[in-house]
Amino acid sequence: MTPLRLTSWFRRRMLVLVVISAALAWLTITVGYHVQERREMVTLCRADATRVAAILAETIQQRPRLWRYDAPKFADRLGGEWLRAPAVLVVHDERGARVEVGPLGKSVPSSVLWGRAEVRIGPVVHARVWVGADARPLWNRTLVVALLAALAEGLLAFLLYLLPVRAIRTAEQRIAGLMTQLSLNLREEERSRIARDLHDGAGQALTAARLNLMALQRAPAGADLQQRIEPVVALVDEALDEVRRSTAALMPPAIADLGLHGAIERHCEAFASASGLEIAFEVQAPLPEPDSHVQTTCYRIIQEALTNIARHASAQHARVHLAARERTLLLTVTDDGAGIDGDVSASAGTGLRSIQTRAALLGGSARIFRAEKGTCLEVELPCDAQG
Amino acid sequence: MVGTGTLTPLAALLAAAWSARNGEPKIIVEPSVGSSGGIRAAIDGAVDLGLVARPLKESETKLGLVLLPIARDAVVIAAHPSVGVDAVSSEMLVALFSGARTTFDDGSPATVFLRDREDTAHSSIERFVPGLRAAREAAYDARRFRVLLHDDAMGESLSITPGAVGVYSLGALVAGHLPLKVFALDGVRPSLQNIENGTWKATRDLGFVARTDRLARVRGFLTFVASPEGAAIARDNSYLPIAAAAP
Ligand SMILES: Nc1ncnc2c1ncn2[C@@H]1O[C@H](COP(=O)(O)OP(=O)(O)OP(=O)(O)O)[C@@H](O)[C@H]1O
Ligand SMILES: [Mg+2]
Repeated sequence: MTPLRLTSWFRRRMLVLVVISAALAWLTITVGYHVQERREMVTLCRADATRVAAILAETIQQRPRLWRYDAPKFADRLGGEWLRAPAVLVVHDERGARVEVGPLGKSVPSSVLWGRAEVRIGPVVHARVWVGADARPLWNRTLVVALLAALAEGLLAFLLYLLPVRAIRTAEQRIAGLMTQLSLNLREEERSRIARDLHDGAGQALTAARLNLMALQRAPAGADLQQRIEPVVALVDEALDEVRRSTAALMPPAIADLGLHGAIERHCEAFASASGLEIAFEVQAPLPEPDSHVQTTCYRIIQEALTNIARHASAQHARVHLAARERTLLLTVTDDGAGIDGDVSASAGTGLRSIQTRAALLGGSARIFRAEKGTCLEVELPCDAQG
Repeated sequence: MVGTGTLTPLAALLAAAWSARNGEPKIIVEPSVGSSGGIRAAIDGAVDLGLVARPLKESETKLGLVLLPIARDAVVIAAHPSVGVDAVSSEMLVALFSGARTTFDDGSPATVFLRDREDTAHSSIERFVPGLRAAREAAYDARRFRVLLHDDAMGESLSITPGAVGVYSLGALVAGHLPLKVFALDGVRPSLQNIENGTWKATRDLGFVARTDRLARVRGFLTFVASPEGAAIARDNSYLPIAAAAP
């Protein structure tokens, strides 16, 4: 039995998922924080610029011609009273030339966020004001947030990955144990069935033959000897048949030599000549090349289905049909017999149960039902089955 | 002309007298922008003369500016007319600026107004009042008092705020007809006479600055300022004239 490989399958997919979602969450947090803070800073700068513009408008009204020479003092006052430190102030006059504003305009940091406002007196724009805030602390804060988020996301991702993987691994181990148990049970059941078959079939026939022979031994030799031996021969033939059937069931299928197709074909021929059933074997080409244990399972299920038909169906014809859908084998065995009765699963004996179990062990399925005429068994077997 | 508010009232009077006499060229005095603003406006050529209340810095002389001294002005402690005292001691002044005292000697509440850090009026009085500079610096840092950026703003604030006291210019006060009370400091009363005889020591020299290439345009006016007529206008407004003949 090949291993399930459930954990490694899950691991591969889970890792990608967890990494992607952690990265997305990290990105959302970091970028979201930065954008939000940035927007706030720009809003504050704009508000500052608007206030500065209002004060500057006053100064310009008082000194319409030479206000620019008063600008350093004006900026000084702003620095003392209005602006959040550390701020940068840039003022352009109506022609776009930069106005000297003293220390506030000098030290422009490498990264600045700007807010802008116009100085209007009536409809005329007399100057433009930019208030800048140093963006470097924001970058530093963003870095800290990014690091913290990475830490948290990493931890979360680790847990999100580890916990399910561990649960799956435990489950996989349990499933593997159960499957081993199941195939052991299957083997045990098959053994006891063959034992029962030999006992009920060959055993009964041989017992009857023995009784007949003992009667012959006691009886006086007579002309009817020929007549009395005949049923004994028939009984021994019956026992021989039963023994042949049982050994055929026990023999490993000749798939390795003949291929699945050839092995099924030969079995159908042999079974037909032994049972008198007319068997049609059809394959809808092309078939994929299934794993060897899938082939064996398919073969065994056909064996059991044909045996059941011979035993229970009183049918004339049987049809074995093999097809494929993508990488799944589709097996159909039908007969034109009496049809299976009632609730199948309740009446299922060892044979039907073993069909079900074999299919299930490969991750496939089997169902048997009464058809329009006779019985139909439908089996699906994945070609790359894990079981 | 534009520049320090200390010289602006005198400059305006001189300009008016010059215009009345000569007519041309017309001289306009703009509202004050401080000494530094006046110097920069002169450098840029936005005005012909800058008004200053401090010596030129080396960097400013390099740009081809000349300083023409005009008048010596007394830096005084001025107060709102309703204040009940008319003299302070050095210790009292320091106590008021440091916030240790918030009332005058008669018990009425005192409100101190400051000029900006760079203003030269403060530093000229602080040379003679020990501890005043430290008290003022601490007051900026603690944002204890309102800071005014121009002389005219200081004059206006002192005249309309009951209990107000601050450092101001005697000349600007007289020329601007401000109804302020002028304090005697340690028994000495600021006056033109006391500036002249040296008993009132807290003074500043005020002057014009001009770009050398612009001097020719204003030579006539400068000659008028240095003339006895110009000197009389200064004296009438408690400025001590120190103008020399134009170069
Ligand atoms: N092709 C069929 N036609 C009619 N009845 C069927 C057919 N196949 C199965 N059955 C019915 O289903 C029952 C269960 O079949 P199953 O193979 O499980 O048991 P079994 O054949 O009776 O015994 P064994 O365990 O030896 O196979 C049968 O007893 C029979 O009644
Ligand atoms: Mg059976």
